Amino acid sequence: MVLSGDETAQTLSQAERQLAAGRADRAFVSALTVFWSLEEAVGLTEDGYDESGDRPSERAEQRSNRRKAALSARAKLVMAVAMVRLNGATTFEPHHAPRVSRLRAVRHALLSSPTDAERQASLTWALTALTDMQPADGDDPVQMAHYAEALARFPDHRAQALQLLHDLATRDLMPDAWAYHTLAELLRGTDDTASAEAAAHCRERAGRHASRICSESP
Amino acid sequence: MTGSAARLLALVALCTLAACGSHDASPSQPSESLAASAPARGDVDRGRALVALFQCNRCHEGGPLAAVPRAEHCVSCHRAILDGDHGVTAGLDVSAETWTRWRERLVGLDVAPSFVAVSRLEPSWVESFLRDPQDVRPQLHAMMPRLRLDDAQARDIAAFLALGGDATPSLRVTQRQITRGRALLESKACGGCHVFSGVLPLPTRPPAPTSTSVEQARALRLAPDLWLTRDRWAAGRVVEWLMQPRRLKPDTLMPDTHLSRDEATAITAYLFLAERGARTRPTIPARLPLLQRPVGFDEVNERVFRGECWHCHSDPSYAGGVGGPGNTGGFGFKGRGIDLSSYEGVNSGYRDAQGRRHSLFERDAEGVPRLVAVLRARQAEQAGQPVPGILGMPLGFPARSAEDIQRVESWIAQGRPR
Repeated sequence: MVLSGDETAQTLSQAERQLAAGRADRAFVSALTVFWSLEEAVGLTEDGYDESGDRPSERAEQRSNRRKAALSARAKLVMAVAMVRLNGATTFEPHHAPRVSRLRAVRHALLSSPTDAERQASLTWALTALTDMQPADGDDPVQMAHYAEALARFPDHRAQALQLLHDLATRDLMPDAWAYHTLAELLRGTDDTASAEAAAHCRERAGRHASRICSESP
Repeated sequence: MTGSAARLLALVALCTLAACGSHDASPSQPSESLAASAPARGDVDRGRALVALFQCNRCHEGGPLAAVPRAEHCVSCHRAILDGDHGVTAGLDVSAETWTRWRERLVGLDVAPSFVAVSRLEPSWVESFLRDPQDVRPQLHAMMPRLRLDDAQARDIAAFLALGGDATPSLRVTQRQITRGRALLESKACGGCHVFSGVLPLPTRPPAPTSTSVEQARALRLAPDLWLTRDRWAAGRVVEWLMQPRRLKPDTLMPDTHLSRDEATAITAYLFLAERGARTRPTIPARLPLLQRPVGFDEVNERVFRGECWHCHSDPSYAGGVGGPGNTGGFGFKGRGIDLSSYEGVNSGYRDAQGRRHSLFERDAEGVPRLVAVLRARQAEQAGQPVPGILGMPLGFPARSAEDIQRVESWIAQGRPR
């Protein structure tokens, strides 16, 4: 299960589109496939071979490794966010699965009836992954919004999630409908007017995906 | 007073043709002196460093520029796509399907003037061109981008690029030569490639085939508007150029039309002394009203962002950590962290000079969102009215149409739906 470099990027793009369209289950499986493929890949095809033509030049190899690391990080991001949006109904720490069983494991990556412990484990993995991905300068609205989504799943961290999303919303830096959906959920019951306003923004941003993204959680 | 205006005033010294050394010369013909080349004024070492800083070698090549890998060179990469050279050899890692898709979408930038013999150009013109880029080559889709450089930097770069250029003496020409020069431009079919704005249009008979059709097409796109010749060159150098273009610039696509010195001098006389009107510039299109129909991100993305925007404002993870000049930095620009390659990226704003993020949709005093303001600023730049403090986008490419900007404004007004 090793995808070519271009297939990897395309599958990852597909995973990101699925995630944005509210299909977190499909996104998780696609991203998991990419993630493992990158783990197994020796290196992506690049030009810049040395004079003998036998091995990539140092520069090409560095570029290939940088690209691989970046794609891997994106796949991990999709998995983590999908885990949060599925409320933990996935297997966690997927990269620890034994190589021989990965293909099978992809099919069983989604849990139809997770236990509380399984949910908690998945959500904790996702929060840890998203915490690790936060840039040192906290400068990336997409990462911040995803992080806030994960924080919002933990009662102890809901205030922090609200603060992060409120700051983004005030600066008109909310990256997507999901961020507004989470904000609306966090405000519900404490400031219903602001919650309704955030929900309206969610529907506006989500466009045709509004019914999947912006409906109230039970 | 501009350099060219001063030169024109200075050259109106009349003399008898006996001293001019041309067979067109006769005692009854007055002549005019076309100025010699002028020396550069800037600091060569600083210019060298600035050329590296502004990454001139990512579009141009040759001459004093250091080479960069093909995958980092805009023109070479585009050329590889258009010529059917597969991605792997261009330093990219893409499938044949992706390659084909790129090829279908690619509009231009498969050719840019090389820096071989760049010292042939007048430093004063290079300076002014860097500060206020004009559309030198009307048939080339891209043009020199407006970079953030000051007068001193432009002067230093011009000095570096002038390095190794020979001084060219002044040239005397007659009225008869001007008339003959026009006839020669027509008979040699120069209008097949060049336009000469501001004069009676040159006949557009295509040039005789001299090379492959791909090369001809590229030569056509590189052909400058002859209106600019008297500003870009010293007259004496134009004569040498017209007689043997490849001797002056070995990689030029300009064909050798086997002109004698007299013929080359006559054409030069016309290029420098023909009465020319002002170059026409596009007008700023009227702002269109907001669309009433729904406008989603897919439409705006397809029609606008996926055009030129992506190239400079992309997701770094697709290209080894390089997000383009408008994201991670380049062409002398600091990284502003703008990612226009995805819905989330567009909504994530930009970093100001202090590193603080702002929305791309912040409104100015007139209520215009910043993203729309930069698109409109490009229209203004093309009309010769650059907007102070705003760099028009797309940088170095034609302005987006009024209809495209209307789409963007309508999408914003509708709440930026995905």
